Amino acid sequence: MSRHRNVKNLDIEDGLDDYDYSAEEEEDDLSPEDRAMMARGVAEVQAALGVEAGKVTVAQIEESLWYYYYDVEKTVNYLIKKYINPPAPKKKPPPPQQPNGEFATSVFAPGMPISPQPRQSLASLFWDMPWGNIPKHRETTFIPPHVPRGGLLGGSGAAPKMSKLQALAAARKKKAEEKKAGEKKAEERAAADVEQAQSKLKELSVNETTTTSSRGTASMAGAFGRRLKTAQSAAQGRVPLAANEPGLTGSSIPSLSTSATPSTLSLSEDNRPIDKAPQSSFAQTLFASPLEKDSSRKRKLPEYFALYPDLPQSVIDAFSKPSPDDIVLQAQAKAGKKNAAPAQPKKKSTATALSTKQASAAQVTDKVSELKISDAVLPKSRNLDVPAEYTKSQQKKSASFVVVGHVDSGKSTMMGRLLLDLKIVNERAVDKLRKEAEIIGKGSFALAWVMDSREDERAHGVTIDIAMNRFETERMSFLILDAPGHRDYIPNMIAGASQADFAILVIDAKEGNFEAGLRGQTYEHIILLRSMGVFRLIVAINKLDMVNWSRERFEEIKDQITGFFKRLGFQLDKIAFVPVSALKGDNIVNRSTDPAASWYAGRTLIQELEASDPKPRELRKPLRMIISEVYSTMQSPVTILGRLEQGCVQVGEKLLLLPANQMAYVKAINTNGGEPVDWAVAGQHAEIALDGIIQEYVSIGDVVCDPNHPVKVMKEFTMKALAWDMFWPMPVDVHRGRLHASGKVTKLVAVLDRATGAVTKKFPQAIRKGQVARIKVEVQDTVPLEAGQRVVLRRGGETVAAGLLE
Amino acid sequence: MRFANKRQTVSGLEAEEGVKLLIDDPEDLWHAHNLINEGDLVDAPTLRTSRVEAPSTHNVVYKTEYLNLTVKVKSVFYDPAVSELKVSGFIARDAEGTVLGQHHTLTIKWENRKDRQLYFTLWKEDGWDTVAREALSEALNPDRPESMIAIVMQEGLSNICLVTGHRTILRQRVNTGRARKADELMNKKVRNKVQSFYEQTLLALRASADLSMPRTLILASPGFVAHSFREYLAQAAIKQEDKVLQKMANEAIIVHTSTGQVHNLNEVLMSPEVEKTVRNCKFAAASSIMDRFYEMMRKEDGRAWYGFNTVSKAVSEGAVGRGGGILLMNIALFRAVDLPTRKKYVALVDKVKADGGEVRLLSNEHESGQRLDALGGVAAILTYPMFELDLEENEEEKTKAHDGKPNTEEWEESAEGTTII
Repeated sequence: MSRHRNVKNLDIEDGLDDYDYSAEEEEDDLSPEDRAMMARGVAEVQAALGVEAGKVTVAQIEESLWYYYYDVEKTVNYLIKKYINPPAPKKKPPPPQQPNGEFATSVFAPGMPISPQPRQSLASLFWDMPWGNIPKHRETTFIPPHVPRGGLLGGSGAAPKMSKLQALAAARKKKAEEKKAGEKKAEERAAADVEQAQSKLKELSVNETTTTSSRGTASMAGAFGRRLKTAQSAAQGRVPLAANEPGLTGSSIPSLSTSATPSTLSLSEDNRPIDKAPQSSFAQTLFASPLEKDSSRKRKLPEYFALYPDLPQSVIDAFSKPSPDDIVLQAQAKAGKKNAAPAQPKKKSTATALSTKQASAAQVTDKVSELKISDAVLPKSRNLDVPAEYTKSQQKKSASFVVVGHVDSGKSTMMGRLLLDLKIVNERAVDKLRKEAEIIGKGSFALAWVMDSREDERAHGVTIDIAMNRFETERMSFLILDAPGHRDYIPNMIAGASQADFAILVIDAKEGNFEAGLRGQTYEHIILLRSMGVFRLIVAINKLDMVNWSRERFEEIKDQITGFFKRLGFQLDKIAFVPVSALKGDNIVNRSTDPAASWYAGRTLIQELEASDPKPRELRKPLRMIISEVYSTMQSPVTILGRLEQGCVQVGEKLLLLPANQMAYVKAINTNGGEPVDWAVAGQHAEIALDGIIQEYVSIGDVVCDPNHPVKVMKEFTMKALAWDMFWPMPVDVHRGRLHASGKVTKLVAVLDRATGAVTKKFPQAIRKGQVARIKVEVQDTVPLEAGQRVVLRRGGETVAAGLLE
Repeated sequence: MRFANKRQTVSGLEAEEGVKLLIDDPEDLWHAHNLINEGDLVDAPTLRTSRVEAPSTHNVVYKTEYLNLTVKVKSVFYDPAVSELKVSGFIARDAEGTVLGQHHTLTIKWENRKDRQLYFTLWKEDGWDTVAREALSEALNPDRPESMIAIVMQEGLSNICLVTGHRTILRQRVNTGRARKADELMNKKVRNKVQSFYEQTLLALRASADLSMPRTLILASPGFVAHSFREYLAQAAIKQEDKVLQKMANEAIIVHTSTGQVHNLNEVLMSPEVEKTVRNCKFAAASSIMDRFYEMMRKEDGRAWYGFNTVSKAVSEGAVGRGGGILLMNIALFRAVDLPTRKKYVALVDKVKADGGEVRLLSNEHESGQRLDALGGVAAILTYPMFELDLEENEEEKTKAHDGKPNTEEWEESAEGTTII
C-alpha cells in the first residue's frame, strides 16, 4: 500500500490526543490563583452563553479560557463559533472563483480546480521587467539539468555504484514509484525545495511556537522555490536523497496544502515580488497591451502553478493532514518543552491551534500574534511546598546579626578581624588594604576597610551604609550586617537591625569613650534594638588591650550596661559579655594569648555567636519582604535584595510590589551570596531577579508580598507607642526597616497602662518619656504597613517613640 | 502690595470701606489669598465671554471682553506653582452684558509686565476686623527679604525649596534612590550613581529657580552629602563657565540636619549659620517661637498649651496677657471656616490683644506653621502656669478632632509636590 495512503489513514486525533493529555496533566498543576480564575471564568462564560451553555462542556470552556488567558469575551466568541454555531466545515472548498485568483489557491488544495483559463503567452511574465538593471531576484540561475543518479527513476536497475543506504532507498522508492508514476518527478522537485526552505526557516525560527507561521512562509518559499535562488541552489544537491525519503516527501506537500488555507494569504502576499515592480514602457511595448495588464496580473500566477493540475484525489487528500514528520516534530517539541517546563499558555495554545485548524483566518492570525508575545516566558512555578522542602533539606542553621555601637567603637574592625581569622578574607588582601590605608594615614583602619568598601567611607573613616558579609562555621552560617555608628546614619542602622536575629553591641572600653558612647549612640542603638525586638545581645567590650585587660574596667562597664538593660526590660540571661580586642584579634575567634587577659575563661565571640538561636521563622505566613537593595544583574535589570521577614518565595511565583502596586514574576533566586536556588524562606537574605516590571516601580524600602495576601497601603495608622522622649502632635520620621517616610503624629488618643494596657488618660496634651500611649500617625506618602509591625518614630536625630501597629 | 490711594492707612480704614490694592509681586497673590474670605466682595478687571443674540436674525455671537466685575466670593483658590489666584462667586453688581447673580471666576494671574498694573478692590463682608487688619498690614509690609534656595538632601533624595519671607515652597523633589554598597570593583558604578544624582539635582535646581542672579543657597544634609554636592556644583560651574553658579557654590551655607526629609528644614532655618544671614526674617522669628513653645512643653511648666478649647479657656481667664503671653494661631484657620467659627477665632485674638498679650499668626506654608498645625492650629504660651486645663474637655476635644480635620488638605498639597513645608 502506498505510503501516502498510510498517511491519509493516519488519525490526526491520535497525535492530538497526546497533546490534550499532556495539557490536561499540566492543568492539574494549576496554581491556586489560576484555579480560582478558571472557576470564575467558566462561570462567566456560562453566564454569557446563557441557554447555549449546554452545548459546550466545561472542559471545552476551560480549555478555551486557558488558551485565551481568561479573556471571557474572546472565549465566548470562540465557543460560539466552534461549538454552538459551527461555521461550514472547512473541507468545503472555497469558492472556485476567488476574487483575484491569488496564487495561494494552490493547485494542491483539495477540490479546487484551477479554472481553465486561456493560456497566456509567457510574455506576460516579463511585462514589468525593467530594461537592463534586472533586480537580483529576477535574474535567472542556470542549473545544470538534474539527472537522477543510480537509475532510481528509470527502473533500469543497472545502478553502477550504490551505497547501502541508496540501495535501500532505491528499493523502497521503486515500490512506491510504480504506483504513482507520472506526476512524481516534478512533485519531488518541489518537495525537496520546500523541505529545504522549511528546514532553513526552522533554524531561523526561535522556537516551536513560530512554526505555525513559519510553516506558512516555508511552504510559500517552497512554492517559490524555483524562483528563490538561494532556496533552489541549496536544495539542489540534496534532491535525490530527499526525494528518496518518503517521510520527507510527505512532509513537504501538506505544508503546501497548509499554505492554501486562507490564513496564510495575508502572510504570503508580501512574498510576491513579481507584482510590485513597475512596468517598464519597453516591456509594455514588447509584451503586453496596457489593457491586458490587469487581467494578466491576476491570472498569471495560477497559470504558472497549474503545471500539474491533474493530481489524483488521493494525493490531495493525503496532504491535507499533518505528515508523519509533522507529528514527530510536534512530539519532539512537546518533549523538549516538558524538560524546559515552559509556560502553560504556550503549550496549550499550540494544541488548541492544531485542534482548531478549521478556525477562520483572522482567528489564526490572532493566535499567531499571541503566541509570539508569550515567547519570552518565565520558568513556570513548580508549586513546591517550600516549608516542607525546607524541613527536608536540613540546611545548616543560618542566622544574621547586626553589629552596633557608638561611632569609632571598632565595629567594622572587629568584623574585619573576624573574617580574617576565619580565613574568609586572606592576609594578603588585608595587607593590601593596610598599605592603602597607610598612604592616607589611617593604618589602623585596614581591618575596617574589609567591610567599608565605599570610597567615601574610606575617605572619612566611618561606616555609612550597612555592609553585608557571610561566613560559615561548622555548625551555622552567618550573615554580618555591619551598621554605621554615626548618628547621621541611624536610618541605615535601623535598616540593618530590622534584618537581624540578634546583635553584637560593641563598646569602647577606653576611659571616657564608654561614657561618651553611653550618652550617644550606644544608648540610641540599645533603644532601637529594643524597639525592633532584638533581645539577644552579645556585648563585646572592645579595646581592652588599651586598658591593659583591666578586669575592673570590664566589670564596671558590665555592671553599668546591665543596669541599663534591666531598666529597658531586656532579659538578662540572653545577654552575654565578652572582653575583646578587635585590632589584635583577642577573644574574637582565637582565645587571647595575652597573660593579662587570662582571667577571662568564658566563651569567645565566635562561640557566643554559635550559641545564639535565630528568631523563629514564620514560614507558613504569607510572604513579606522589604527591599533593601535594587540593582541590575545579568539575570534581570531589576534585581532586588532583602530579607524575607515571613513566608517563602519560589522561582516562577508571582509577587506584588507595594506601594507601586505592580506585579512581577520571580525569574531566579540566589541566596548565600550568589548561590542559585529554587526557593527561599523566611529569615534568609535572597537576591531575587524579577521579570515583568520596570525599575521605576521598584525602590528601596518597598514591600514585596504575596498577591493573594497583600499588605495594606496606608496613609494613617494607629499605633501603641512607647515614648523614649516626650512628644506631642508633631512632625516625625517614620522608620520601618529600610522604609523611611516623612510623617506626623496627628493625635494622642490615650495614655495606656504599661502592664495592663488599660486607658489611664484620654486625649493627653503630651506623652511623657516612658509612657505607653495609643497614637495616630499620618504619613506624607502612602506606605505599606500591617498590624503587628514595629515602627520607630524619630525627630531631629533622636528616637521619640517606637511601637507596634494596631 | 500697596494701597492705590497713597494717603490710605490701615488704621484709618472704615470697617465697611472697600479698599483698592495694587499687586506688585507674586508674593502679593498669596497675601490676597489670605485676605479674601468667603462672602467678601471683590472687584477686579476680568475677561468675560457673553452670549449676544441679534434680535432680528437670532444669530448667536459669543463676545469676549475685558470688564470690571464685582463678585460675592464663594471660593478662593491659590495656585503657587503658576502664581495664580482664582476668586469665584456670583456677580454682585450690574455690569454691561451680565446679569446679577451669574457665576463668574476672577482670575488674577501674576505676569511680569510693566504696562499693566494688577489690582483688585476688596470689601469685607463683616467689616475689617482685627485679624483682617493684621493680614492687611502684613500684606502691605514692603520689607521683603529676597527668597533663598534651600536644598535638604540625603543620599539619593533631595528637596529643593524656595524660602521666602512668608512661605517655604517645595519646588522639586529628586529621588534617585541610594547607591548600593558594593565591593571595590563596583565602586565605579556607585560613583556614577552618585554623580547622576548630583546632576539631576542641579538640573532640578536650574528648572525651579532663576539662577541668573546670585542667591543665597543653603545645602543641608546629614553626613557628607551637602559637602560633596557643593564640590560638584563648583566643578560643574567651572565646566559650564557659569560665574553666578560658581559664586553661589562658593558662598553656599552648609548646614547639618538629621535626615534629608523636608520637615527637617526647621533645623536648617534655626541653625546659627543660616540665622546670621536671615536674621530679620519672619519665618525665623516664627520658628524660634515654636521652638520656645516646644521647649516649654518639654519642661511641662504649665505655661504651654494647645488645642482650641484648652487655649480659649486659658485666654478667657486672662492667662495670655501682658508679660510674655503669646497666642499662636495658624492663618489657615481664618480662611477655611464658616463665619461663626471665624468670629470665635477673631474674638480670641481680640481678647488676647485687649489683655496686652502678643498674637502671632503663623503661615502653615512654613515649617513652623506645620508644627503648629499638628497641634490643631492654636497654641498659647501663658503668662503664668495653669494646670489641668485639659481635664474636663475630653469629649469636646474628641468632637473637635473629628470635624476639625485640620491637616488633610495640606498634606495632599505637599504630596503633589507643589507647595509647602
